[in-house]
Amino acid sequence: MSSRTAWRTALTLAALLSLTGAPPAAQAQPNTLIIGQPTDADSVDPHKITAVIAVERLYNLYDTLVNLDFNMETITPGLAESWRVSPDGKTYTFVLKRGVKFHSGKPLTAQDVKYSLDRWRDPATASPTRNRVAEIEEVTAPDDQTVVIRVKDRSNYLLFNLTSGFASIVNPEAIKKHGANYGTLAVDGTGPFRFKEWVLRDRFVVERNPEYRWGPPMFKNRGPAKLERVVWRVIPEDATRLFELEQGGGINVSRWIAFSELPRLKKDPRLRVIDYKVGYIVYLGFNLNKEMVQDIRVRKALNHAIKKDDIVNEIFYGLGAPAQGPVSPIVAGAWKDVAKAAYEYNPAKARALLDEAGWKPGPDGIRVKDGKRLVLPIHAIAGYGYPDTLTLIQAQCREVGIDVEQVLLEEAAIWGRLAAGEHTIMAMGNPHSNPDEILMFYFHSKNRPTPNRFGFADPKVDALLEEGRTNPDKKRLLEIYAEVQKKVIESAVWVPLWHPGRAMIMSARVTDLRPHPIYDVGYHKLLDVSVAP
Amino acid sequence: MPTILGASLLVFLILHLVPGDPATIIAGPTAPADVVENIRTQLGLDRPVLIQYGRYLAHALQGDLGRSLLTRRQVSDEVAGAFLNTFELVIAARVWSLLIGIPIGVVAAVKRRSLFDKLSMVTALLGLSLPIFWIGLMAIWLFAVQLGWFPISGRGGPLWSLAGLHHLVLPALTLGGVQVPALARLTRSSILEALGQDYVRTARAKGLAERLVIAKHALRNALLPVVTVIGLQFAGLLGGAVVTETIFSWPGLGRLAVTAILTRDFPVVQGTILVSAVTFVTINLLVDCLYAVLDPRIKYR
Repeated sequence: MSSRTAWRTALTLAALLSLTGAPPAAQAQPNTLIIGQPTDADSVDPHKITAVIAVERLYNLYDTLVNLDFNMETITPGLAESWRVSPDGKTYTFVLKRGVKFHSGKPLTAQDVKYSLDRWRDPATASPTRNRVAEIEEVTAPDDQTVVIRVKDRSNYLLFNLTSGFASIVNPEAIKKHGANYGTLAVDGTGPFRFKEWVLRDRFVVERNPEYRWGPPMFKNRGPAKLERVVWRVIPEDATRLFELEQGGGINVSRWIAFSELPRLKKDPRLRVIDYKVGYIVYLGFNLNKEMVQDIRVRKALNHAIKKDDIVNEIFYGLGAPAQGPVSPIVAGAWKDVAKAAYEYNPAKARALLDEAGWKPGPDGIRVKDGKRLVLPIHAIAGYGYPDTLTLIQAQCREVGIDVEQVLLEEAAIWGRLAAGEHTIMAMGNPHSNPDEILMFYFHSKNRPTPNRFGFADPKVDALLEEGRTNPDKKRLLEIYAEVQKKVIESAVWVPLWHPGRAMIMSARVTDLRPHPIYDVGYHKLLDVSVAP
Repeated sequence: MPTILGASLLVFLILHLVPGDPATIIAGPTAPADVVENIRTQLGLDRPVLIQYGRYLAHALQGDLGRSLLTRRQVSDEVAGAFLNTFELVIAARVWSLLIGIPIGVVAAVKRRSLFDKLSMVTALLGLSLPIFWIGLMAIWLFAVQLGWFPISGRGGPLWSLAGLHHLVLPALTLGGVQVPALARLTRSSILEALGQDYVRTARAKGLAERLVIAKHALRNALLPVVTVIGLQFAGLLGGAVVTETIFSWPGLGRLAVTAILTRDFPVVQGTILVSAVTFVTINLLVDCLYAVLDPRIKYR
């Protein structure tokens, strides 16, 4: 082949490729929802994962016994069409829907439910979310349609925990058959979509389950799903993801678009941006074992020194709200009068508190006491907006004479260092659907050193939290949690920073996609959604 | 073999010296200590480091690279898939960068001080200084967003499918594009050096056509350093493709390695090191063989 013919062949090939415009595998197919996200899930075995991006897949592959409504309060049916709680609150009896089948064709029985819950609880499974069902004593299946769960003590949160994706009901036969490959190479659930294909770090494809008729009543469509298939595409680079959504049609919805782009995207008629709230708190937590922050006046001074509005507006483009207390206001049980106890932004007050505590301004403006400078390191993950947030806090604290030091660590390293109690202050965030999920984890003394990484111990709070788990009186519960939130704020063990908001950006052709705030997943079952051609 | 074993042991030790624990990643931020401990026990992470390595090695020598701590997939499957994706990308990039880079270098050398020479060398200098992520994003913007010739990102399908090939073009163009300037400059200087040698003068004195002098005498001798660099670059590309892979959402070895390192997924890191080391050694061997072909004076005994 002469060089000229070689060139001609190459050019023809290139032209052919661009003209035929061979479409990306997923994009050409009709009625397909393509979700863009920066990383891939590890597995879709409900008992092996914690990641949000995996849980949104679980809701579509599997079903749970019960579901949490969009209002974050009402428990609605799932695989259980009804349930009954015994007067002592220790026995739950669920009646399963009839005619439910796994994707493999096997009919669902109470034995499968028992197996799923037992597998979740079993230490040999090593489920990272096992503590969510620690209160279960025994699960039995007296007949094919009935499941009985006995709990150690009356529990206000068992049903809540059974709505989480980790409570998905799996097919025991599939798990036994596929062993360690279950959750990556093979999946069998009863959900509205069937597992089709998983190219790791590229795409995860599910197809409509045409036999699905048992969707929860919180959706207009109970099944089968309107969508032909759903594809989760992994696109690590922010700019590429934005290109795909805006121009390429390579994805048609994403929750992972840089906030700085939102004002512009909101004006684009080809797109629809839905801002929504989630139960989430980002906070600074003091390690009370560290001498530097043992004086409550220092902790209160930080509470007064930080201007939370600036964090929300300047770093996160106004998506979210400044936090006054530890519990997200969208969660039932958040203290209504939290403003009464909250610390307002007031640098003068912060200075006065520090003066009172004996920290006097030094030559460079940083306060000094007994020859020691007021230097406070804050540990945080080097990502998710924490570096920017800490830089802002650093500048605000300098105004009152506190020298904040950033200790930014990668995710694999930070948990171990925090568990060792190395931190003086830490910045962290957490999703929650009820007050127990955040207050029990973080403020019960039995949860020291993790996840109560603050050394916080108050017998009154412990007692209240325990009562909160078992007392069935709704009115009393509100009082209990209000009291705990008040005590947490008064002790100034945290600086509640902000409640992040979320944005779901989709093509205008996507209809009826409603974000669900549970566990910050965004996508619950995609039953109502359709994509116009 | 000693190279590969050495690389494997070194990586294992470094990974264990760096702070970080895969069990805490799996457990997530709210898990109590006993849950983390349980995960650690179930995964065998509580055993002494050397015993962990010994077990790993014993299995690896029998061809079992174990399973990822996070995904529980077979490491051999994960690594093989990612390696093939990267290999394909690197080969495509290599081929087109050679097809462009070497001819530019030759012409620039032969027509030294011509407009072509100056223009191509300035462009090359520019190309050398531009970061690859910028080139990649610009390529997406121009060829995918504005012109719509190629898809923006993703793997598309397997290589032999039209979609797969179509998706390969832009990342290969980008990855190869950044290799072209270095290649062109090296070829140019190498040829210039060869053109000043006695054997070229002899060839010209014999009355050989200039085309033959360049192609048969100068180029062949000038290619020796070029081949060395190609070999080195090739190995570098396997790991260095990570930026290109990220921009174009290409599920390759570089991204796999970075994810595995960040999550302290020891078996997967080991797997990626293993294939990288093997490829490196193989390519060096090939380069050595190529020397002998190019220069008959080099003989291996």
